[in-house]
Amino acid sequence: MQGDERGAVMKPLRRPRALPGTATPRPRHRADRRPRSTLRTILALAAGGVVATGVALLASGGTYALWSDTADLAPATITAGSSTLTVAGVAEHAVEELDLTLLAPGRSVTTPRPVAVANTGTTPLAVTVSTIAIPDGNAQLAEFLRFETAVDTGGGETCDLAPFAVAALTGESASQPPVTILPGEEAQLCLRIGLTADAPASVQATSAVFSMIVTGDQVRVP
Amino acid sequence: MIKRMSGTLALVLVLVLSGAGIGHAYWSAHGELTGRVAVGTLSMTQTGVDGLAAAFTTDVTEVTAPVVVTNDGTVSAPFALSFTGAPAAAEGTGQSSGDLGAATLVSVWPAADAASCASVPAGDAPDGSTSSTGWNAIPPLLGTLEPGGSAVHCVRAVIDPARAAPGDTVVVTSSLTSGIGSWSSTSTADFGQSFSDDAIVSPHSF
Repeated sequence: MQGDERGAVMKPLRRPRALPGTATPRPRHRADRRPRSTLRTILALAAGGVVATGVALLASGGTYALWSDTADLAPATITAGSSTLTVAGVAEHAVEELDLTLLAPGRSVTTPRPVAVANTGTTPLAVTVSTIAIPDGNAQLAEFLRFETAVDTGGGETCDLAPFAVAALTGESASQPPVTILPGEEAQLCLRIGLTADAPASVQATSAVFSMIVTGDQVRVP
Repeated sequence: MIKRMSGTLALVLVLVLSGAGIGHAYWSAHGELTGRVAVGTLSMTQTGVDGLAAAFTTDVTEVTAPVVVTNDGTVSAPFALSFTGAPAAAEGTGQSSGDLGAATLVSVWPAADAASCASVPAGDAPDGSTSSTGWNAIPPLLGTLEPGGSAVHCVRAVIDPARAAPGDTVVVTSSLTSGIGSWSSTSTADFGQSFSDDAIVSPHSF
């Protein structure tokens, strides 16, 4: 092996020397290094990227495993829960004989017995009266009707002593706070409908059919 | 530096979480309650007041008649029946005659029915009656009636001939009022009474 060949192979790499007419590389003085804060920024961004990638992978469930294996699970049945409620055992319940007691200013009529609102689904429900409407269009009378509800989870048999809260009319949310009913359980709903004291004489001998929507929203019970 | 790092992380987290589609869904169930409500009527009437019209003389000094208040409406309602009297204007003069009411003792008592008013002996007033001199002093008769119900009050007027002058008169207005909230029902009826010393009398007409 000749010396030139050996030098071409074995010589360590060296920084190329500057050619004539080109700029001479500046010596690396301490003052000329990049500022330390810039380096830290780069490191921070890199760290943030690593963390973000990790979070993204966790959120999306992706992995980067080099090895993988699969195994079949036995077929299983997935059953969804349900969210249903009934009023007096049915989806739509008509309260009879309310109109046997005729209204007058400042007077009201109350359901003689509580109406059972049952949670027949599998999720706890926060139940409230969401909407009260007068679908038959008796707008003048509707203006002077006052709906009040009481929900009793104690299983009361009469509505005589129920503490009533005013329920708003025509689409607004009732002021009555929701009552949570667990699956398979029920609450007792009492309803009182009154005519306001300022109802004019022109509403005498009129009547109205009302519709009250009872809504149960799924809730999580701790 | 730390602030910049935190901002970067927050931005990345927002982007990641929004892209991951994390959300919450809730179920609702509905039931419906329906019913019908009806509004009643208020109407109160009185009858029998005209039976108190009288032309008194020294021999005929008393008249008794049942006044019946009836609830013709469809809701129970309170009522108030009151009497006010004033001398009638003398014919042709435009001036009032003497006030016969000042010489009249008025007695009112509740009764089970109209026929029972006549069973009370003349000049007498049963227990529970209200008596006063003059029609204006009688306190209002109060009560509450169920739909279709009636209240009977016997009203007796007795004049004192010694205190009445021939030609004295009184026109009495019976006012029946009933109210529930902003509803009201009013009924009025008038009758007249006079005094003369004629032997032949006939009911006074106004």
